[in-house]
Amino acid sequence: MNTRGEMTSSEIITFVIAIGGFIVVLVFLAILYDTGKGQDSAELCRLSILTRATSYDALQATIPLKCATNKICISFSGKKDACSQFVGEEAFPVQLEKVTAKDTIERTLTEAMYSCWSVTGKGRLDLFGSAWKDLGLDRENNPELATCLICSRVAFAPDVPAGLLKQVNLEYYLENTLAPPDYKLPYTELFTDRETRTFPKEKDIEELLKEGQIKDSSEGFEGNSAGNQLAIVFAQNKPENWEDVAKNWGLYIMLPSVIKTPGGFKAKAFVLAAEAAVGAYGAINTVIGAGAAARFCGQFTTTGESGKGGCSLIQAIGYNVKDINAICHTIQSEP
Amino acid sequence: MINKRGGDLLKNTLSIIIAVIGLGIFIFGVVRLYEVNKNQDRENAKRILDSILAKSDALQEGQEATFPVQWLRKWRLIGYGLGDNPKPSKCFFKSCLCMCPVSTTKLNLVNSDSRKEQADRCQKEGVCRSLEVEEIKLSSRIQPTYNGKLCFDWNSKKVIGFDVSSFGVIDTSELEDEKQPALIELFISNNPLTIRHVFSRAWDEGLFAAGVAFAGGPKVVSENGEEKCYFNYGELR
Repeated sequence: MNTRGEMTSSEIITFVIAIGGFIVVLVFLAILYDTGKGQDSAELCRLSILTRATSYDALQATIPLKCATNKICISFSGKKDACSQFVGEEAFPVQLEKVTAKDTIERTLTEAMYSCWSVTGKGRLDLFGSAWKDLGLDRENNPELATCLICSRVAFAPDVPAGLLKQVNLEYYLENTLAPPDYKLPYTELFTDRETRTFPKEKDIEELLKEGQIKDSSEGFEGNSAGNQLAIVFAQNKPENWEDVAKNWGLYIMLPSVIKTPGGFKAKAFVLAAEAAVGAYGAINTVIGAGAAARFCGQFTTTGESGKGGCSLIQAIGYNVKDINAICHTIQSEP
Repeated sequence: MINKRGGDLLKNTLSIIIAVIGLGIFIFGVVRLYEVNKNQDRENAKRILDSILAKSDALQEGQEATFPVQWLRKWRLIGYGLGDNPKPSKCFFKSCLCMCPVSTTKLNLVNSDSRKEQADRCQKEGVCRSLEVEEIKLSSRIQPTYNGKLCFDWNSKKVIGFDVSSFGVIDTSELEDEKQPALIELFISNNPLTIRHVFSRAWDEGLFAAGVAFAGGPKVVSENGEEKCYFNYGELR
C-alpha cells in the first residue's frame, strides 16, 4: 500500500538511476573542465575517445580528443634532458642498464604501442566519426591517407650505441613475450584479440614478393632523417570503398614503414598482413626484424550510422616529415 | 485529500528539481564542450610556439638545427620585427613571434589592410611571444621571402618590390586540403632568429607540378639592372 509521502519502488529506482546518471555526467564534465590537469592522461584520452565514438554523428565533430603525445627519452644516463630531440619539451626518462638494455628498449616500445592500441579500443572504435568529412578524408582518390594520433614519441640519446639499436627485434619480442598482468598471452595475441600468433617470416615474405602477392615499398624511402626518434602512431582510414582498401592494405596505408636507426636497420619497407581477411586483426611486418604493427579492418563499433567500416593501424615509424606525412593526413593528438 | 496533494507536490517538486539540475548540467556541458573545442587549436598553437622558442633558446650562437613540428591547419607562424607595422598590440613595442589563425581574406603581405586584418586576428585569437631581438627571419616557399623580404606576390603571381621589413610568414594555408602537411620540418638558427620551413624535394616537386608553389629557394638576382626573384628550378612564371 502506498501511504502518504512514501515513494514507490519504481520511483526509488528512477531516482537512483537519475542520480547515478548525474554523477557519471558530472565526472565527465569535471574532467572536461579540468582538461587534463592532474588527470591520468591515458584515461583522459580513453574517455574522450569513448565519448566521441559513442556519440551521435552530428555531435562527433564537436567532441575534442584529449590525447597528448607522450615523450619518452631512452638513455643510459637516465637524465631528463638526455635527448636533444625533446629540447623545450618535457620527456619521461627511461634509463638503460647494460645487461638488460635491449630488453628494456623492446619493452618500452611494446608497452607504448599496446597502451595506444588499448586506449583506442584496439582499432574497433570509430575515432574520427563524422569529423572524418570535416578533415577532408572522405575521398575516393586518395584512400591511403589516414587521420592519426601520435601516442608517443620515443627518442634515443647519443649514449645509446647504434650496435645496440641494431639488435632490437620488436617482432620477436611481440611473439615471444608474455604480456602483463596475467602473463598468459604473448603480445601478438593480445594486440590481435588472439587472432594472430606470429608475424610473417622473412622467408615467407621473400616468396610472396617473388610471387608478386606483396610489394616491396622501400623504394624512395630514406629512413629517419630527423634524428633517432620513433613515433608510435595510431592511424585510422575510412574511405568510401574501405573494403577494397582493406584488401590492398599493404599497398595503401602501410607504405612508408621504415625505421632507420643510427646503425641503420635494413631500410626495406616490406608490408604484409598475415591475415588479409576483411573484418579481422592482423600482425604485420613493416620492416624486417625491426618494425612490427597490428591492424584491424572491419566494421567499427559506433552508435552512429550503421555500416561504417575502415581500417586501424598501430605501428612505430620514424618521426620525420616524410614518413609521417606519407601516412597521416592530419594529426589529432596534442603535440 | 491533503495527503494526496502533499504527495503530488513532493513528486512534482522532485521532477522540477531534477529537470532544472539536468538542464543546468546540459547547458554547462554544451558551453564547456564548445569552449574546449574552440581552445583546443589555441592550446596546440601555444605548445608549438613554445616548443619552437625553447629549441631556439637551446641553440648556441651560430648553431643551427632542424626539427619536425606537428603543424596546425589554417594557422600561420608569423614573425613581427621591431619596425613592423601593423602588428598585434600584445607584442607591445617589441619584436614577436606569433601563431595565429589565418585571416578570413587571403593575406597579401604588401597590403597594409591585409596585414592589419591578420594582426587583428593574432590579437584576438592568436598566441604571441615577445622577443628581445630586432629582427626575425621567417621564410617559407609558400610565401616566398628572401632575407625577410617578400619577392613574390601571390595575387598577381609577379615579382614585387622589397618594401617589407622582417615580417615573414610560415604558412601552409595556401595549399589545397589534400596537400596540407601534418608535420613540417623547421630549420632554426639564432642571432638573428631565423626560422625556415624546410621542404622535401619530392614534396616541392609535387607542389611545383600542381602550380601551388615553386621548388627550391627563392633567389634574388639583378639582370640588366632589374631585380628579379628566381627559384632553383627556373624563373618564376
